[in-house]
Amino acid sequence: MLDPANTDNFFQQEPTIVMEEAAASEGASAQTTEALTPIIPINPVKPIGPIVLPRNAVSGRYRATVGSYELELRVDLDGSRPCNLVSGDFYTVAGGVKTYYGSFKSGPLTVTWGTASVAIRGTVTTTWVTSYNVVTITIPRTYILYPRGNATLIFYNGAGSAGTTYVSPFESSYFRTVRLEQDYEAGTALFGSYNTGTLPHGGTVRSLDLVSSYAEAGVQLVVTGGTDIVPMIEAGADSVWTNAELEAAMHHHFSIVSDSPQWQTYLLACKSRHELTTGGSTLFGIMFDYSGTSQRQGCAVFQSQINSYYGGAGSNDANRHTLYCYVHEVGHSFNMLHSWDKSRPHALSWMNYDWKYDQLHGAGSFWANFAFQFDDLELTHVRHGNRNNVIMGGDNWATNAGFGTGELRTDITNPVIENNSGLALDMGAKGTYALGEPVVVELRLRLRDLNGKQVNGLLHPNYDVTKIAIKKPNGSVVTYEPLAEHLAGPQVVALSEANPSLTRSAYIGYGKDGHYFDQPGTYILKAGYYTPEGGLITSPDLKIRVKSPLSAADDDIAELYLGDEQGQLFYLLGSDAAHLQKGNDALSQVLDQYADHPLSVYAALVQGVNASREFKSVGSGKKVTVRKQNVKQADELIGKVFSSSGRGVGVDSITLNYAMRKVAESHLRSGDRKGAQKTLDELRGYLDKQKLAQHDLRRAHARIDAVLQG
Amino acid sequence: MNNLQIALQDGFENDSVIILVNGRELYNKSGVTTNRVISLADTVTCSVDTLSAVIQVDVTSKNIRGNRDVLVSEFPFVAVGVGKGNVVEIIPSKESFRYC
Repeated sequence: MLDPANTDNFFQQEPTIVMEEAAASEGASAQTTEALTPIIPINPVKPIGPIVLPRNAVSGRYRATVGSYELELRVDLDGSRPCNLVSGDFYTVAGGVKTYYGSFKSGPLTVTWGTASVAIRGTVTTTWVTSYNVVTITIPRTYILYPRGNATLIFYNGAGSAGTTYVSPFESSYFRTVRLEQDYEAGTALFGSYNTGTLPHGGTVRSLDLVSSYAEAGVQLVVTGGTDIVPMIEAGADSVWTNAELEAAMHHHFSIVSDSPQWQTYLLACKSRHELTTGGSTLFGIMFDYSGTSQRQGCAVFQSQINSYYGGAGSNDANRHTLYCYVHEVGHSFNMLHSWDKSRPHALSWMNYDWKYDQLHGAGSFWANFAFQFDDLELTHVRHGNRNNVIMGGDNWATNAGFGTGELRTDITNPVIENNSGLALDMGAKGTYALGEPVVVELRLRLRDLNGKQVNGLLHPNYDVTKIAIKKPNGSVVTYEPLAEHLAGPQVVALSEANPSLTRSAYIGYGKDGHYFDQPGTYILKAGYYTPEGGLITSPDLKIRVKSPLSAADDDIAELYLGDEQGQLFYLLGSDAAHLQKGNDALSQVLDQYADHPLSVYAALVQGVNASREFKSVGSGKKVTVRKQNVKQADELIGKVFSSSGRGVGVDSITLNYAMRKVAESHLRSGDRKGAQKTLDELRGYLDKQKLAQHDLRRAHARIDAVLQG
Repeated sequence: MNNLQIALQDGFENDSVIILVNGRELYNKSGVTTNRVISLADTVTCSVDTLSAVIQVDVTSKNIRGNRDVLVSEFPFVAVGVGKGNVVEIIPSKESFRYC
């Protein structure tokens, strides 16, 4: 078996580590000159300090040849939006013929930045069988104005024996280079560029075209210049394109079309529409080359359709969508699926649909927040996907398109390779729970980037922006699914030095799958938060233990709390709904029978919050009956929760804050401002005694003040 | 009369689909498969003489169904798909759907 990671059988080469010494002088030598005596006094000239030259980035593409193997190595550590990975493709070269051999990609890396060099170490997955799956890479850090240093890659096996060494000269700052040929149908023209600040937008303002959009992703598109004008007749006598006609046009006009995988792609800008555009559906673009062999070589954009939909050629909206379609369709040629097909419907990516995103987040929210970029995992795919998964003419469309063997999955139980989002997510909870006790977690999104960040403040898992994975005592892993997903536009919150975190508490004991903590044992929880850019950050593991009942009362209460109706009442914080009556009866039984038991506080919370608000029921004949709020009962029950919490055996401060504000609002609605004031004063006093961060306390006080202000 | 266009979008894979509008069969096809390049499997159009219409979608091959009362006069475009957890999704829209 040939193995480029260990070519010992064929030749032996001593590792040659090239450590280029930086040739630039760090200090400017002082110059001495004869100075004339000045006629008017002048300030003495301060000596100029040493000029420190910045160093080149090490990220980019390197290429080495050792024996009959050629290695294309990609190092991605310090450029724009680094993926913190290394990857490579091997080719064999024999008799003047170069053949693709296989690819490798690293997992998490250990990176040591020295002044003069960077040392990288990690495990790689390979498309061929080898025991040499540990790599080290050393790259000198040269100063700008000086050539980049060679990357020296050494493969090792599990026993630490070195395999083959590849000393790889630097080739390009781009991870991949693709030739692009663009033609256009008579009657239209190739699109130029769009300034992203022209209309509401996310991200920085800049002028983008197809080439620069991919350059930002680390991919170089080299335009071949062989542009043809495609006669309209090639769309058929009906001037309506079919995929077959587009394919024929590509084979006729694409000067470098190939029957084998090549880093080259074709885009046809069309005037005529596609047959899939019908009365109520409009096709703006298509990567039409998705059947047969050597797929993903060509795509088309139907510019007249875009123009007529968005107010005519040259309108800002039309220009924006035309750029989007160019980048999107070429993205399919790189084997990138739509965002929602990769379980990332919230991604602000070239590969999402604006209207699909808006269905989840509100009208206009895609363009208002889109930074004109791919999401993090798409960057990983185009930069580091195994060569055949990405190259045009390689794997068939949608095969290994981001979820294939060895590809990253958006699974929050997987470790995040590197978090460059500027954010961190923490999750906290009590260490131990009694069986049946409602499990509430506190989610905290923290700022790590001193420049500040705008985040979606809808942290509660009800909003599908945050997911919580639960590993049960039997080892099975489930994702917490709320009873109802709440659709809402992003609640933009600016995190800054003065407001560095955002905290939400969430009840996760009951959801679509019923009770999640219905067995004694140890549970491991992990939360994942989808950033507006489509990245995923995860919390450290949180371990909680659900204790076995120690007494008959514990056992009885567990039984009374673990019913489905009771779970729904905990989730809703109370309800009068007839179908939940059995649950309310069980909670009432806990309050009657076990009033002094610490766990009774949860029944009091649910029934107290419910009592603080009126409840409307629709009876037969659609007659609406209103059960009025019961301030006295709410006061009593939430008072019990308050006093228990004061003794440290109640609920968390966010939940208590919510419950007491509900009671205060109930007082206000009944005209009892004094009662409201008293409740809120008690709450303020309680919160002031808790160890809350100043900005959290300020926010809590603001919520309290808002109650009295109506 | 109000025009109604129903687009069968994500999640279909060689499925048999029956769509009823106000109880009348509008669509009955097998082999319905989403083209993931554009996220569209098929479209079907009809006219309804009421302001709203009950759209019932039965994916018989998956043994799942869903229905929704849609105010057609305001939402003449309806996306139908099979979502997470094998659930039939019926999403009305004021705007026509654009694919790319």
